[in-house]
Amino acid sequence: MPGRDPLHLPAAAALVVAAGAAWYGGDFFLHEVLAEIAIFAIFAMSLDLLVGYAGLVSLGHAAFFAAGAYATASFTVFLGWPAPAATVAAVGCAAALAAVAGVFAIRVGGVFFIMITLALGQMVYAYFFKAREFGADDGMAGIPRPDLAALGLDAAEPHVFSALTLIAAVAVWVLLLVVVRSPFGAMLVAIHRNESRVRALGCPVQRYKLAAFVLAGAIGGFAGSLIAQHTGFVSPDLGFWTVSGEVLIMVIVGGMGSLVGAALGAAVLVLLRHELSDGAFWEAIGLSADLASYWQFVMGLFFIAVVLLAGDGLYGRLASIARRGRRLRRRGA
Amino acid sequence: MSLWEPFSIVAVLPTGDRLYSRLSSIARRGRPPRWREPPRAGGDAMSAPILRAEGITHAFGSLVVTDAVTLTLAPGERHGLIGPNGAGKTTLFNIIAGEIVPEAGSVHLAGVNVTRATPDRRARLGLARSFQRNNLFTDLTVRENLAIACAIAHRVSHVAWKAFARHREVHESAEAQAAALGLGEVLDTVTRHLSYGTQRQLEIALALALEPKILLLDEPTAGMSPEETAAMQAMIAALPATLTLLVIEHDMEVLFGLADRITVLDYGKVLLQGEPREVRDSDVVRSRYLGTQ
Repeated sequence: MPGRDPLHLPAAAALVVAAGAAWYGGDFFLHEVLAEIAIFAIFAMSLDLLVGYAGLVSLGHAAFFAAGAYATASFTVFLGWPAPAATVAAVGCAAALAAVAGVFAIRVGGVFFIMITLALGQMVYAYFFKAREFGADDGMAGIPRPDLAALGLDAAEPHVFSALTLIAAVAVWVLLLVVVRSPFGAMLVAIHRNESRVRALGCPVQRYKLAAFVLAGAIGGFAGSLIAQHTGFVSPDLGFWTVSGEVLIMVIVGGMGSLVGAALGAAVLVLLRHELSDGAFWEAIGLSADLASYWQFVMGLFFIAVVLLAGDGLYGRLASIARRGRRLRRRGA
Repeated sequence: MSLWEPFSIVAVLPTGDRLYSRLSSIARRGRPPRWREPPRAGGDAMSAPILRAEGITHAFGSLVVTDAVTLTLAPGERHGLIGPNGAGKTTLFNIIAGEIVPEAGSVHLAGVNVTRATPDRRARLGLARSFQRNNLFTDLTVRENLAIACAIAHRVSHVAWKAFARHREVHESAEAQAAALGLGEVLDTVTRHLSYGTQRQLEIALALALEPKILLLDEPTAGMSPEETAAMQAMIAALPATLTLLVIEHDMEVLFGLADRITVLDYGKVLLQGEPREVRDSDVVRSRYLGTQ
């Protein structure tokens, strides 16, 4: 049941402190990476609500990421809205898309749910790839960041924008923590474990799954809005199925059913992607810089190692070590 | 799922359940209510059946498993359902519980036509069930199992902004339920570590947590030791007299001691309906079912 994991709050605090320290001592490049980590942490936590809590494994979550990004691009570039208003509208658009898609997707379970969400993601990708009004395969550029002049700040500065995204990630974590520790969150876990029993107890299971799907879609759209502002550019690739796969890997590597795990998975994978694809990293450890071309191969090895050695993810492994330590201490006492 | 169902998302918002039912009633205005039946002339609320399954027919492929079965239960009645293996007892049970929609016939629950209603809607109308095989949250504790059922019963399961642990009324209700059914000492035991008999008790406790009007029990003593069977018998006997029971049971001693009326099914058809004495004395039942014991 959500709420009985004593490691959750210390781990979240450690992650926030590490991010804060990296931000404080970071340079231009690190601030850019931190913003990307924070955005993918939001995206991964939203998927974790579906995968880890409600047991709905989605391979189309990038649809909401792309919808949020394109909605932000459209509201800012076409209508001239300020970035914060566009973000709110983008979250609404992603939620609306999730509500419509969810009505169909949640009617099925297991591999069929995966197939429907995969199809949804590819439909969104195909639409933006062809839609000339949204720049087709060229995408859209010129997406602004929030205007913080009133606060004496410039969001175009990486250290300011990365701080904003880190604050947003913490806010989303708090929001999702409240949700997963509520009776609604408990019902999602119960549905995941034994759907027929929950239904027999009088719980309208479909309605709960739809609500989780919409909430996850809305937060995925929020992450999409932030990535559009981060890069200043959107392209159909944001909705491609590999993005859904990548965020699913983040959740699995970090540990399903633990929001901190999803954020940790996002941090590890974004950092690895940056380091492994950089020739300087390989030279620094005494290997050929050419290995940077094979970074995806190394990432694959890492993913296999995590799944084999820590089936419940990095956070899940940490939590089980902590539990074993507590048991030993109790026995010693 | 109705066209209106996508908007059910509002049900998870504060006061969403009320808002959803209000919006639904506006959407349905001008149309007859979906499940409610017109009141019958001269109907008496007290004597009206709480459960009426009429002409239930269902087949799996070419095999007809229930054939025009009619079953009527008065409020507070304890009704037994017996028959040899393959007689259609569990199929009828699943049709009444909403797991299967029958090919013909209707099911009315407290005057409401629920023939096509989902199991969760039937549960909200007061029908609870236990399963033939234990169907529990096996990696949760007894307390957590009951808290889930009580959260639904207390209509707080949709609340998404207040911690579950802070819903004291739900947890107190779960503890009271456990104590009342002799599960107080295993409250914090993970369910899969309980004995089979205790898991059966929890199975019934979950159903009772909903404070149902009708309880369907599918072979409550199956696989139990004589001691566990006796404890289960005592537990069922102690249920409130206002609760209507429909019980499938193979142990005739248990059933004859418990039921007011018994329906005997054979090859999907009703062989006999009557008081336990009539069933016990029936030559047909004895030769077709009891005699084979």
